[in-house]
Amino acid sequence: MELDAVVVGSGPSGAQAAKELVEAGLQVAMLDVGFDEPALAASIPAVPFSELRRTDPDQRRYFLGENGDADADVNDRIGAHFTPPRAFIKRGVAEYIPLASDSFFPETSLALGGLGAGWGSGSQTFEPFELERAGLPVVEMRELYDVVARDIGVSGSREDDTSETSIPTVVQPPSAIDTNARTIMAAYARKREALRCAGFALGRAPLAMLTEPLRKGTSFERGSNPYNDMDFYTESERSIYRPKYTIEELRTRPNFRYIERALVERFEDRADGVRVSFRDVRDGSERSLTAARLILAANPLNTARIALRSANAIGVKQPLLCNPYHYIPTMNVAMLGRAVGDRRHSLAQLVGSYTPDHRGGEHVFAAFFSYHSLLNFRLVREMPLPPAVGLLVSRVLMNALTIVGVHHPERATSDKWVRLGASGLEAGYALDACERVDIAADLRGFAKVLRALGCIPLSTIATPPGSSIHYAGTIPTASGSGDPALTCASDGRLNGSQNVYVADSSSWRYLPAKGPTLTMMANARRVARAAVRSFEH
Amino acid sequence: MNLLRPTPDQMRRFALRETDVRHARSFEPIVAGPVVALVLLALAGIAGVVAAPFVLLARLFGARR
Repeated sequence: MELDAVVVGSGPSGAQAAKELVEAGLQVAMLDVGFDEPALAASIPAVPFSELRRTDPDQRRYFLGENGDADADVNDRIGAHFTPPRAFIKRGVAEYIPLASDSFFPETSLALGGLGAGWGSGSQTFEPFELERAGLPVVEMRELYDVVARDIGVSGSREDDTSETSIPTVVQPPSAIDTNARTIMAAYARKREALRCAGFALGRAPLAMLTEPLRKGTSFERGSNPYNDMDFYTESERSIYRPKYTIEELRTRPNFRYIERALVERFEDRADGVRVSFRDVRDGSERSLTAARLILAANPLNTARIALRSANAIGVKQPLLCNPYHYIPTMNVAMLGRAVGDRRHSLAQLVGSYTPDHRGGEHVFAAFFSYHSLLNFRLVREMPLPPAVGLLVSRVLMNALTIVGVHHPERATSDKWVRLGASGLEAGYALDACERVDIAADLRGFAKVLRALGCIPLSTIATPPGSSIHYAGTIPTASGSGDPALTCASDGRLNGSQNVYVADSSSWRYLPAKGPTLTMMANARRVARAAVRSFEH
Repeated sequence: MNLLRPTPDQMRRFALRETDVRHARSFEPIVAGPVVALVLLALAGIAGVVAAPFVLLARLFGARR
């Protein structure tokens, strides 16, 4: 087939961009490495976590790994949600897309669905001022949020204080929250007025998780979440959106072709279209294809790698955005010694938005998780106690333990960068003094809020830069002054090219503290629409 | 504090035991009311403080060897 467009990457951005292009009738190919290993997740019995723990003699396979006795890396402290059934998400990264850095430690992926294969499914929308700072058009994005929410299925409440401007208008009913989250919501209701005055709002988490079936009666039907608390291990009736569901749907269309095990190296913008060179990772063979348009959606680090290599821009620094991230284990006093219900999901139960005075209107954003299905050993290894004593503490605290993940807003500075070095992509990341002061103030304020909610902070853990898995800004939309070498036009087209578009969060100039994935998908639709319109011209 | 944390070998044994179905119940949350929970936490704190010097000595001695 004659190709109108090639999409690079099958993550949330790539999947949504491809869907927009295919629905517009274009001939589309997707180049993707696409590692996938669904067998382990599919083999897990569909019963609640607590029942599995008591009944399944084979549980070590999915809790520790297929070779749990020999290889269980129970001491890996980063990325607890990359459980053994999700190990494929990180497969091949060190070999094929290494990053050299002593200050930035990101997660990237070559999986089918990219990092979206392990997405926690938080689905907030950006507010108008956040969209404007990021360089995204407010009216079009708000329409596209609903297009995406309808397509992937987002559940949430439009009644909560956090929902005023942070949730799509098209949502399924909110998911049921667990006993722990209910007590926190009750504490919030009692102190709501004072907390709102302090700039804090709490609500149920909007999630790309179904509470009602979607596409019922079709071959792409997805079910509602079974509340088995196994969402870090299984696909849970496909209730939590994964980009591969979109790819599966597209593969049934005659105008879409999925080319797997293809690692894109570079592109060449020519008179007859864009020539894309890629390597087949199975045998190392070099291949290429040509299309009228190229849509880069490989995640901000890989998109930058491809664009810099294509421009032969060795040593040229591009900006890098990544939300600083802390997590705060807390003890919810109201739950100490109390029982919890068996039926619940494992994702964020609540979200909190904190707008302290020193941020000038910017939000600090937090997700509240109840701790259960990630097992005791991840807690015990953090305690300065002998394991037997640590286990006692863990068992007493388990039902009261609330993990609060706090994301801080992020802006570009000269100390956060990526560049192409002689041996591959390099990155540097350092917060300046003002940012460190702001973050320290965020955390002090947040600790007060948590205590008011009855959640006593036990520790505040600073994660290494890159741990938030929220990346952006490597090829930003041009702002007119002080721009880096590679920039995008406002419609996502790569400046200096007529045929290459950037459809992931590489083009953003600012990264709010909220989860960016829903916005990435809406933006990918927007950029794909611009690519479709370019054919009309 | 890092010196007092369990070693990788201890944690590997711990994780294997936790995922052994025969021991599942001894890893379940303790639900006995807030008073018992506070007493257990206090006892665990005392046990941790008592054990700390021995753990430290064992680690330091082990490291020198």
